[in-house]
Amino acid sequence: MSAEVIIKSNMYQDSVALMRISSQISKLPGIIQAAVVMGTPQNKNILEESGLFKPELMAAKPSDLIIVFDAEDPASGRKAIKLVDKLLESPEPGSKSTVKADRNSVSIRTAIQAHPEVNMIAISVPGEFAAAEALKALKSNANVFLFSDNVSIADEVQLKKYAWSKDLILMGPDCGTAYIDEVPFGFVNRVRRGNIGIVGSSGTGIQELMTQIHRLGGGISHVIGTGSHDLSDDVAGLSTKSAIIALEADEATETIVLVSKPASKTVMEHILEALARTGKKLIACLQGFALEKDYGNIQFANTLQQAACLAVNTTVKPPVCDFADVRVQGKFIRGLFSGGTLASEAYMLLGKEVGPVAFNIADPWHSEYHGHFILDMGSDEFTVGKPHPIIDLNDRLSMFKKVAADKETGVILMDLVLGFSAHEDPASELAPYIRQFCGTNGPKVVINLLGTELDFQGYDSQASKLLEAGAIVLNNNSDAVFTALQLVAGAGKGGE
Amino acid sequence: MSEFQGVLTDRPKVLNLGLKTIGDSVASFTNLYPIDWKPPGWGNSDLAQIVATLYPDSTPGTVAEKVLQANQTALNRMLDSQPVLVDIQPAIEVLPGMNSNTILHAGPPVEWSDMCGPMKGAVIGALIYEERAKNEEEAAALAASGQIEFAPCHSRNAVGPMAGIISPSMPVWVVKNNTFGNLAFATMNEGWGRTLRFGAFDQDVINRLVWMENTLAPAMKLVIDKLEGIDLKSMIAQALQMGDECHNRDIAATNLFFKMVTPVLVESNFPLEKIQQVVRFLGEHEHFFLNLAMAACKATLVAAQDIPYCSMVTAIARNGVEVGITVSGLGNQWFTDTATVAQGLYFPGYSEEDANPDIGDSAVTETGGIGAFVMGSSPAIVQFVGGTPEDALAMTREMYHITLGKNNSYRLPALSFVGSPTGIDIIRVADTGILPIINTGIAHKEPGHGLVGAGIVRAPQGCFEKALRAFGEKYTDGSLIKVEDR
Repeated sequence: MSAEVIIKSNMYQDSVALMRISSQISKLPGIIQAAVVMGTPQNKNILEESGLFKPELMAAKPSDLIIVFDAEDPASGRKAIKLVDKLLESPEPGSKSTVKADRNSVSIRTAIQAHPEVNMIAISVPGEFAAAEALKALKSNANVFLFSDNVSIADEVQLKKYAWSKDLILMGPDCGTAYIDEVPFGFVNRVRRGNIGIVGSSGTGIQELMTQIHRLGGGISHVIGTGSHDLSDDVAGLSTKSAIIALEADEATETIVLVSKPASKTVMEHILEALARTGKKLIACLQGFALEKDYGNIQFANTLQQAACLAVNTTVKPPVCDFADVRVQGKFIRGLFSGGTLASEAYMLLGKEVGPVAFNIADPWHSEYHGHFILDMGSDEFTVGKPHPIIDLNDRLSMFKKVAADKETGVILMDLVLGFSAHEDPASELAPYIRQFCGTNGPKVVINLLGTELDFQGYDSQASKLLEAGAIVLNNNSDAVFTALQLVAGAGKGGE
Repeated sequence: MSEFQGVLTDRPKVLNLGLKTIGDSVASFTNLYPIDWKPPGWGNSDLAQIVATLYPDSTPGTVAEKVLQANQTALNRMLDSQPVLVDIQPAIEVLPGMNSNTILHAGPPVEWSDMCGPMKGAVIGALIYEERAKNEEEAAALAASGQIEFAPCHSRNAVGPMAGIISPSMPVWVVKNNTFGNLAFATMNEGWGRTLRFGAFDQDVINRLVWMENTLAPAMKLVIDKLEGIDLKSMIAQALQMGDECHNRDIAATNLFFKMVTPVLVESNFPLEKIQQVVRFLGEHEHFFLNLAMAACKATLVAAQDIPYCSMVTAIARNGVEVGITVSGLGNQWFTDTATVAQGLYFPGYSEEDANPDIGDSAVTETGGIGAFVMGSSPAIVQFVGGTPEDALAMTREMYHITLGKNNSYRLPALSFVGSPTGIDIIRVADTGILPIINTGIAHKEPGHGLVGAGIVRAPQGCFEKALRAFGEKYTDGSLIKVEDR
């Protein structure tokens, strides 16, 4: 063992800096213990207690720097002295910062303090935290796009009443779509700017509408989603009312389209009365609503496609499908949807034409399902703890495989949703399944490809991939449904 | 124009919490501001809901509005406080409810059998100093006999560093909050090395305590009387400008105190020999001011105690086994969690294995808006955790996220003289998940070794979880928005 004692006279260093140096020296290989301290009486006591004190240190003055250590061998000692000299000369260059100096905000409060101009907060956090974050956002005077679901109705009612009292809007919970002054929130397609405003409690219903309006040459001012429970008796359409009031006052909006899934009759009547008073050009597409009287100038549409045509002020095109020469073996249509409104519209259109159709919203999916059926795979039944099927196709693909193997299946009816927040290349996920499971005697795949040529996935390239795989591709939901009907009408007949 | 109407014409300016894809789409079309969202309440959704319910809101009649008002009151009281050193007296004379069998200790309540090594050593030393026991064995037997009433210093508006032992004969500083009239107390600092507060009780330690009682205290009493009190708030404010944070680094404040005291002493007719001893003692100890800073902070915090609906922390204290906090709107109740070992630097010959878990009432400085909270202006201190001056600034900046406001007297030169982050709010702590940072000395886990290092520690999460749950139980009813009777 070798001991080293060095006294550097009149060399003051801050005690904390010296503690750092001591600890670095002690970590060197071959160093048993080490100390670099000023020669004060207290420090000499400390050295004595730790067994490092050497007689020659008696002479050290408080203004002297003491370097003392026990090393296993002289070579280690020399290395230690070198390091001490280096560290005393200058602290470690560019010591790494352990805390990010300008870290981002971690809470709404601090983010708003830093950026008081924030007026909209998008929330897609896990459901158990969603209501709390939405309340904080509203308290901070921001409007809320609440993508999260699994928020209780009681919380939704409290939040919406609170938002109403502050002239703010809560879009959601379970709101998939909004498009405010060309800013996309959630699942939404890129469309041209125009004078048609959309209010809706349904996500894909809105997407279908806005893409059809775009396709027909029209344009969109704003799209305001209200969340899937907004038109229930409990919530009483508070966000829908806020949205109508805002669009009424908005100069850019000349036409308002209201779209909804089945809703409370009382609430819907109340909303329609409010809508009729706006003085704008008005269209409503309300699934499952039995019209009993007129509401001013509101025009009612039976399908989303018709609503788009009315909004753009064109006539409804007859179904363009003609697949008379295509033959399928199975007799039944099986719908695998990612969009709830699209599934619901398909269910209603089929019901009118072919009689009983099973639908998982009315009767949750089970293995006894037979005949025609429609599955809304974006419903809670399929999505708890999983990404939405517009983002992740895996669940739908495994169901596809199951349904395709069923000899009774004549047509697999699907939607494929493009746009912001959606899967970046859904056609490439689906195409191999179509090739593998829908051969000559297998079912035919009919797809409503929902999107515009402005969407980042590329509408035409997505369509090509599906067509090459053997699918029939339509650009709207009702045409897809009618095509499927036409195919199964001729089921089992002819063929090669 | 309604608030929402404005967004339609003025384009959304957006925060995105959650799915990155949603934010990415928004960012191509308008301003998206960064936020690193984490679930509030450390992932406990019940705490997240309490945070949201209590989140500031000016809607009259809501519990959130009452909390907002109460917290403003608490902050104002802290900022208006004027802690002044007015006296020094034996503990038994001035501490409320102190009798000859009372021994006060640091941190939340703890019984003799559960005390850590340094605290047991300090109790033994105090009993020997009080001449209640002749040696360690006698003292330990007396401490275990049930005759001695142990209580937290905080329960008597007092504070003590490390073991924080206050026994009846010990002289204590009397600090008066001139604005509100309340008092706070602390012992005098014994200096470095083997001292009672680290659990040492050898004869030198006892002799020093006796000397402090018989010589130092009368000298200080003379000075305080002559100066008609010493304004501690200005002294702390000045020391912060000189690189102290007045917790782990008190050298500037101690020098300021020394500068004020010495001329009075040498001009007095106090015995010269004693003046020499006192001046030498003060001159040798860099930390003498610590206990005064602590008492000043305590006097300030007492003024903000017991305000209904107030979510401000009024004490963070450690007894070497547990860390406890108290909250203004929850009275004297302690919310505790296990104490951890500080992350820091050790004196030669010692390591983390020798360290006692966090101990002492000195976190009253951070609770009062100084200490680690002003580390940004005391860069020398940050090296304890191997950091840089930038780290010190970042830590100070971080504390603004969990405090009610900025101090009007304690200012940070390194941050353009902004006021220090003041008034820890349990709602903000749970909302951000950011735990208060504390600078601390590290005691040896065995009695008598003294200080073995110094470092930085965070007040443990469990204290805040328990306190917020209790606050929620007392002031909310489980609904998201609670409207109070008006």
